[in-house]
Amino acid sequence: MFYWPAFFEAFPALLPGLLVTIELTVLVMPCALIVALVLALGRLYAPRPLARIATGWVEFWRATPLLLQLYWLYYVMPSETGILLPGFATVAFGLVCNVSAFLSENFRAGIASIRPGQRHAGLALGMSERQAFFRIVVPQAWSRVMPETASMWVELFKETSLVSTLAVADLTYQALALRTANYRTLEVLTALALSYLVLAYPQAKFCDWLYRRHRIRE
Amino acid sequence: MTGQRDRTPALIRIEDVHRRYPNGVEALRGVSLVAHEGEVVCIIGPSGSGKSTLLRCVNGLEPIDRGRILLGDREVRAKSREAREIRRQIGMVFQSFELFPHMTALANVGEGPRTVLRMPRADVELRSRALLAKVGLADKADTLPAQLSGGQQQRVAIARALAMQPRAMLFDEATSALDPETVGDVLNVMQQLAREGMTMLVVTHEMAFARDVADWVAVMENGQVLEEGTPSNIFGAPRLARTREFLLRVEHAPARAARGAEE
Amino acid sequence: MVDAFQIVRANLPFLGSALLVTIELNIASIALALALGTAMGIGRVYGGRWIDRGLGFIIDVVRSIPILVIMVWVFFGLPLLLGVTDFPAFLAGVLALGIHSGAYIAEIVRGGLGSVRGGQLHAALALGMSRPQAIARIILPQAAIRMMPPLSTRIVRNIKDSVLASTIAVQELFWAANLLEGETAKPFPIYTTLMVFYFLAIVAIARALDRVYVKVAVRGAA
Repeated sequence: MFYWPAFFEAFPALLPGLLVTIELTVLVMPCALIVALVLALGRLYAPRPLARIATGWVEFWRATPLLLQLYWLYYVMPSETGILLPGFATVAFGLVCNVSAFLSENFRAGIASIRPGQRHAGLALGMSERQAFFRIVVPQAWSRVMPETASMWVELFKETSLVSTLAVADLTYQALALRTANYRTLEVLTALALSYLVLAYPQAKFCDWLYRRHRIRE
Repeated sequence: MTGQRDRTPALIRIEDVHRRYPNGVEALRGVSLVAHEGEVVCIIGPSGSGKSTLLRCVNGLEPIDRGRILLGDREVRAKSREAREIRRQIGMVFQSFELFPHMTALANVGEGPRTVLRMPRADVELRSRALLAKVGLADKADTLPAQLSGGQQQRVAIARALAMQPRAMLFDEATSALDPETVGDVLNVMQQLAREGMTMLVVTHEMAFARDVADWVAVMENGQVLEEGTPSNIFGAPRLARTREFLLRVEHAPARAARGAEE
Repeated sequence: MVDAFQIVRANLPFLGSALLVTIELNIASIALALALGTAMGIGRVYGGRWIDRGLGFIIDVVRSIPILVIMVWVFFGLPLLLGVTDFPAFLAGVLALGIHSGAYIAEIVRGGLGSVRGGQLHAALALGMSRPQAIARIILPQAAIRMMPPLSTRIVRNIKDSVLASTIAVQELFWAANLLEGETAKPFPIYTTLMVFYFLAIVAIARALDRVYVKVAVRGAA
């Protein structure tokens, strides 16, 4: 019923896909972090019209399905604007837009949750706005923001699986191709699930630990 | 005098009770205390002396390791099915009020009769409104706890406990979390209850209340009863130096305590 | 510009019936997720150490696997494991979404139950209630109110994940859009309409859930 050799042989075959998945994750996350910070600061401190645009942008990327976003970028961008990027770049771009929106909401809420009194206390000591922000607000916001950010990293790692639907050769794509080739659907798909599990589980437990540590500190 | 006490039947008997927490802390090290029917027994002492733990053992919320606790002639055993029956007969008022935030004041008061006594709805409403009136909050029947002040919440909590028509009431630092202005309101309700003959075990820091309302005072420290007696004995002429020290710290009434007989 | 969307207007009935499938898919999977999640959450908090650990492990496993992979596995792999042919795609979609969202909801329930103060349980027991009574009448209602914000986030997430059912040929809205795009080669009007639609629908649902929460929030105050 369950043909174990096919199960074990699947893993080396999936390896190239895993590399692409990791590449994608490692490339997208830092870019998303930078964009998210810009967006968050924009929403908090920029003049009203700009802040509104930033909020609209963030709301949009948060309230539409990722798959739809990727498809739109993949198909509509070339056909309407003539910009044709390779598949990998397109989905990377889409992921950066998507993830940065969630991260920026996280950053914004974290920064906004610090009582204004804290900033006032810093200013009252004679600090500049920038000093007060970086020495008082950011360190406190960081402990609230960090566990969620780590969670997002794990989420991103899992969400890269969607790029398989657009023929980007990640882990999932590799598995689906393999099962079409050798017809050992159950074994290959179980190997696929296990691969994600083995990689994401420790990271997720680490995130749980971060959450617990953060809560005790409060 | 003890002679007078023995004439009324004992309602709550605490006999050589020991309790050690799972983390190793010994909260109660051989506590014995008796509350007779209609008596107000005040338990005073420094924080960490085990007063609140003792109270929670009396109605079986916490188990004891050694000794026994009796309500009337029934033993209180925390993990048994009879524990529920005991809790129906003893009312408890908490320092943090613990009103149920998702219910109005009226619903809070009626929750016990409705869910535990399974009284019909009309009777529950009658009883609840009467009790709210008794504690002076008839007009707050339909407000939510979040909209009530601390003192008001605590009075509702007292009404909630009374709705079960208990044989005895336990007060666990009922006024410690209140603003000074509202403390008086709650103490008045407690005093009225005492006058009506309710048997009460009161853990408190309000020395004036203990002096004026208590029939018997027990001083606890470190999980044991240091000294017990009538209020005039304890506050006027404490036997032990430790008791005097405690009273000094709490009351700033050096003259009175120092005049106590040296034994 | 207006002409560009003619394709969409011409195919509204087709898209409409696909939308119906989307709605059914989401209602069914969210119901399943709530049932599973509540049961597991309560089990973890009140079921004792071993049940807590066992469920915790299952929940962690489910949360470590991408929803797309779960869906594909349930549709292609599970029938092989069970020896069933002709496993309906809709059922696979409901199961996959239900199990995935259910695991997250279990953690939300667990957090919600834990956020209710211990004193509340004591107060209920002190009135003479039994543990099950106290949990049902006092703890759960308060926990339910506290859980609403993260639950609404998870519900929205479920709606977004439901488009993945198109990959296992569940005939929901995105599947219909892809079909249409394949036939007409006009991605712009089709996908843009879909994006705007999901955006409006999700924002509306999120706002509605928020408004309900605001009304009941005062009853869940610490």
